[in-house]
Amino acid sequence: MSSSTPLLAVDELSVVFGGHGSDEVRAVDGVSFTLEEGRVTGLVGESGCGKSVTSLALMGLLPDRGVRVGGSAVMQVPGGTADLLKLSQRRMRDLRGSQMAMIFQDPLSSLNPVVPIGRQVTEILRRHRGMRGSAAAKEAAELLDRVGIPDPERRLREYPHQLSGGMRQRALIAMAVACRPRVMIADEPTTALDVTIQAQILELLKNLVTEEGTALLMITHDLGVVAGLCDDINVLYAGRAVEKAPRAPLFAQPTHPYTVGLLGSIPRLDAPRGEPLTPIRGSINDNIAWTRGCAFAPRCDHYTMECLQGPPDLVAVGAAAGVEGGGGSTGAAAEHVHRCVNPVRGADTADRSAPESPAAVGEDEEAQG
Amino acid sequence: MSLLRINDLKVHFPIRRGVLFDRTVGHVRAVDGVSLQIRKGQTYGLVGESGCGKTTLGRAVLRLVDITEGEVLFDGRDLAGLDGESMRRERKNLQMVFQDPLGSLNPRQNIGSILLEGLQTHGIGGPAEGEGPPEGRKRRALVLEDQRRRVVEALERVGLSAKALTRYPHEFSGGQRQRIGIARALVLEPDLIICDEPVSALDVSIQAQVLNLLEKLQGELGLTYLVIAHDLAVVRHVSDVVGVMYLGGLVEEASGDDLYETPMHPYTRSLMSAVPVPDPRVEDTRERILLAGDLPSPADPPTGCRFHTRCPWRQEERCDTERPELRPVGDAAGGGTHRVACHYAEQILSGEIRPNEEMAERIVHGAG
Repeated sequence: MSSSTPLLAVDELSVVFGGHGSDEVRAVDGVSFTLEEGRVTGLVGESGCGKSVTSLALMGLLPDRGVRVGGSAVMQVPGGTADLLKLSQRRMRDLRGSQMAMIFQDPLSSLNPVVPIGRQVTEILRRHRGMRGSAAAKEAAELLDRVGIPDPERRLREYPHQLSGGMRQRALIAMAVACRPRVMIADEPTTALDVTIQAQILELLKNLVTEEGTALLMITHDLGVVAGLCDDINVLYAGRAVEKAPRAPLFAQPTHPYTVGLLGSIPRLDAPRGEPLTPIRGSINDNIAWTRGCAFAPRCDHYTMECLQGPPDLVAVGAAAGVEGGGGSTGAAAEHVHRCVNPVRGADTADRSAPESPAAVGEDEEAQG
Repeated sequence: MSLLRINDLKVHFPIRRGVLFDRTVGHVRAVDGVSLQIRKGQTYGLVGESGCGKTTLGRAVLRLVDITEGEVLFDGRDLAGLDGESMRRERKNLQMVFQDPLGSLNPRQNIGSILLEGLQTHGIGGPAEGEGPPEGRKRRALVLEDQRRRVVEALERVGLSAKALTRYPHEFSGGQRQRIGIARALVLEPDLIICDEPVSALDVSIQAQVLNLLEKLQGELGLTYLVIAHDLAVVRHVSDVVGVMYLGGLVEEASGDDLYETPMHPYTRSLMSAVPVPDPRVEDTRERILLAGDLPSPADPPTGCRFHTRCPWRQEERCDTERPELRPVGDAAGGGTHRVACHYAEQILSGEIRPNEEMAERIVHGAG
């Protein structure tokens, strides 16, 4: 496979929940990205931005009723291409596990508590690789060993509650990689784990990508995780990508006020102490429909009337904000786009000082309204 | 002057077995000999992974769990020895902000009633003893008016308005609920507020708002905080002094800057190296120490140094058998407040003792 054809090309994906008299909710509203072999693509955003719904839509795990999925997701499968959003349930079942796999956030609730780990791992081997009996058990033990679970033979006989959180997540990853899928989706895989365990799991994922050439879609709210792992990053807000770039330019020169705000909100371990944080005011509920303007405008420090004149487009960042210090930013995807008519310029990021009181006032209004 | 002083605090939970005979077969040593002190007007940050006993420690200070052994001296009074009623009265000086803002607010009480409850329980508000009208309707009205004024003042301090009083917890967003939780603690005008994971349930942008609020309140009211969290970056941002806990014990304690610049305990070093930094340039070049394995069970902690089973710098004999004490290190002249519980802290810092490659994978990502 040449690197020019992406393994999975998601184009204008939209997911709408609704019907039955209630208002429709556009959870995902025209999100496009590509997954390539051996690269990690990140979807970043706060709760409610549509990142998890995107992954469920790609895996075909959304309910049939009350949901409308639009757009396309073309994946390279053996013998051609297939649009994941239009495949039959039966065909999806064949793909899930063998060609694409998912790692969920909460490892305890995504494992069956009354079935031993061994049965849960061999189930996939049976379904997709036709392995039986001792051959399957041996392969399962090898898988557990590969993801760093000590004493795998014993663990195969144990139940999920007997494993620690990090071990459960490893078991899930073992199940995900059992058939060497070419696309892996990790939905907040380390959020429920402690930092030292998180570091272990991230290292494991990184190795899988570099050694197996798996394409990984990493969904997370943690910009620190993104900085260490992802090659290309999509920042989502209210169902749309607001900024999109390889990681070096995104962190060096974020242009969308939301990205800048997110970065200013995180206390950094290596920052000098005593520097105040510069949070984004209000909460994710203070938004307007994309059709009327920029959904982020009500929380934005930079907005003007221009922002409320219809939906802003995803445009390339001006030549002024060129790529700097680009470590791994070479390649076709070295493109930095954002959805903003009043982007933050490099100079602004330095002396940006969010006033203290508007945060409180913004919340006030919401409480009264 | 230290406002809170904890001396060799132990909290052990019994493990019981048996249906007919309730036998105690062992103890979970959630907190096992912690000593620390918090000075007035300062923030003490307690950090550690889940299961290290940090939450239990916070709850033990408020006597929400039974203390097995040790002293908790608050303003000179030993809280551990108080009976239930005296402790209840003492709690107006020590308040807590909980992790889950929805779970810690009664869904059937409106905000006004939630905030008034503490004032009524402690009989705060109204004219002083012997002043104003005597017992009766008039006095009750005065008391209620004063209590209402205090509640509104607390709400305004946290950035909400009096309109919140008649609303219910579900009508607010996560960040606002956490503000209400803080207002509930503030309304009693406590000296010490224990914040147990105050921001971990919140979105990143809201986290920063709440952290800034906590800092602002400390400046205005001279509050003392004990902040308990698993996120080292958050703890370091808010705290004057940081204590790192591992398996029921304090392994290192230092000022925020000291701890970041020269972490001395092997656990602190690996914890620090595991915290992701939102900057690819830093992420690509820094050294990471990956610990092997998980936290051992606190019901059966390792002998000697609690960390020796996972420590990359472990030495023969002494680490396995002798539990290191939290001892002061570094220059005492420069206001040395750095304490560490490791036998070989200095040798590890100077590089005299090299880490064992088998115990930890050291990964240095090359630049580029």
